Amino acid sequence: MLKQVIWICFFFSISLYAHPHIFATVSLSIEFEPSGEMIVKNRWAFDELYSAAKLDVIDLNQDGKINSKEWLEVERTVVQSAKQYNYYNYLLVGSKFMASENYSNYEAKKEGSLLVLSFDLHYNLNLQNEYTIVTLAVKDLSNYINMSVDMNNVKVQAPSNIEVEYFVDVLKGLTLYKAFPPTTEALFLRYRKK
Amino acid sequence: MNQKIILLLFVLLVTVSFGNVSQKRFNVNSMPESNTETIAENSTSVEIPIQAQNSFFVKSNAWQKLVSLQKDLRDQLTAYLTAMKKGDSHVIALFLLMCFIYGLVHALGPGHGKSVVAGYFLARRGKWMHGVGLGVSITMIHTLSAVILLFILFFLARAMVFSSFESSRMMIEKASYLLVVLTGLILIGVSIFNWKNTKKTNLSDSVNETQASWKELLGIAFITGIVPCPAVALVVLFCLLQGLFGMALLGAMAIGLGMGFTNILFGVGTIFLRQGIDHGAHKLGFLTQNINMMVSLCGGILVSMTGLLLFFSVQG
Repeated sequence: MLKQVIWICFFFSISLYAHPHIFATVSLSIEFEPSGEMIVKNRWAFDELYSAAKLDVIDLNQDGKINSKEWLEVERTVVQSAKQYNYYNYLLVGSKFMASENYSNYEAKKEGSLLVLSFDLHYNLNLQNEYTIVTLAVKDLSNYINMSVDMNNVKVQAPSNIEVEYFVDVLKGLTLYKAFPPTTEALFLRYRKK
Repeated sequence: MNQKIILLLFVLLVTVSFGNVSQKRFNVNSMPESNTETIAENSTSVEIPIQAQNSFFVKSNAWQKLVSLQKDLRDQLTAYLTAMKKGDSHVIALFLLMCFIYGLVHALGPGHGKSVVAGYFLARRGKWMHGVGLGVSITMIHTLSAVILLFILFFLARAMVFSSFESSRMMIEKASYLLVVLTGLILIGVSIFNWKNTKKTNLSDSVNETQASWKELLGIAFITGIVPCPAVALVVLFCLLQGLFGMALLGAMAIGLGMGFTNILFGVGTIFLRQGIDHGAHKLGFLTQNINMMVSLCGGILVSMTGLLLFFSVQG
């Protein structure tokens, strides 16, 4: 009897998928609105293997072309499903990770053989005379999607009424980011009313 | 000369436009308390998944390097497949070698039966060929199930191949991890049961009771490997989409062998470890039975702990 129970347990104790099966190269740019609103522009380029599989699956009529209805399926399964993790964008202000209420300018396209998604996240922050420090890291903490972000190439733009300073460093030593690998690169940014 | 002037004017223009944005290091600890008020009242916050906070393994530097290596290998795989699609047959050998290495590295991550193999050979005594047999057979079945499923789905229900896999992933993960925990707990129970029994019998009987057998190994390999490997599935699907049916089979086999190699290392390593412990315990005489029980218990605990850690690393 005991043997049978062990065998049944072995049967189900197999598919442990806690390692990445999707790889995405993420490009970011940050823009400030005169009101202080911060917009983080995301561009995700998926690896060729995943892109081919995903593009084939969403091509429901298998005509080799992706129509607007089929592109919406990518939005639903990839972008909208990531809302509860704030689209893997972790923006720390004070001691809170801010959630973006929604995203805008969603666009999906095929660039060469790669599936590329882009969208903007909006953070509703107030503008003050004192500096506000924010930290931004992008990562899928479930580790299913491995996101490579080149923080050194992040473009930051602000209108003339806002002063911004930023630098790139790893998260090592930051207790609020303890869930992240310490070698994760993040953007440390501070801004204030000019 | 004119070019230099234009360049200078351009730099000046850029500097004036974005002069309020500068790349400059500042002290992140110098933030005044009032800054928390900069969060607008109607803003909401997001919670870091508690599972991620506890998954120490994926945060390690070694794991990050492994992931990065896998990405490079997979990019290389797709490059070779694209070359083959264009008719370059010279890269076939390199493709298969890359598949083998990819499988080897991929299996170092959690979820390819290493802990089950190691836990089993701690609880059951085996010979080195048992380790080779279990290591290879688990991953080859793991691979073959992916190949068979992908071929069937590709030709019968192509649009369902990937979406059904993605949607069921999370549920399968959680259920699997819990059952790993349960498997470990049962191994612990069996160890205690055997220990109590051997107190009543002689030592040679107890040794025979805990020997691995080929029949048992093949059964475990089959039921452990039957769930298709998603990494193999993606490579197979990519090959099928390129019309490279033969490469789908060969590539999958090469990945399976690579993953098998990793499992063999863990299996044979554990068998030798167990033999060493038995050898040492035998010299101690009266402590033999207690040491045997402790080792078997460790096998169960290893499996349970692995399951627990993996369970808490799952998102959702």
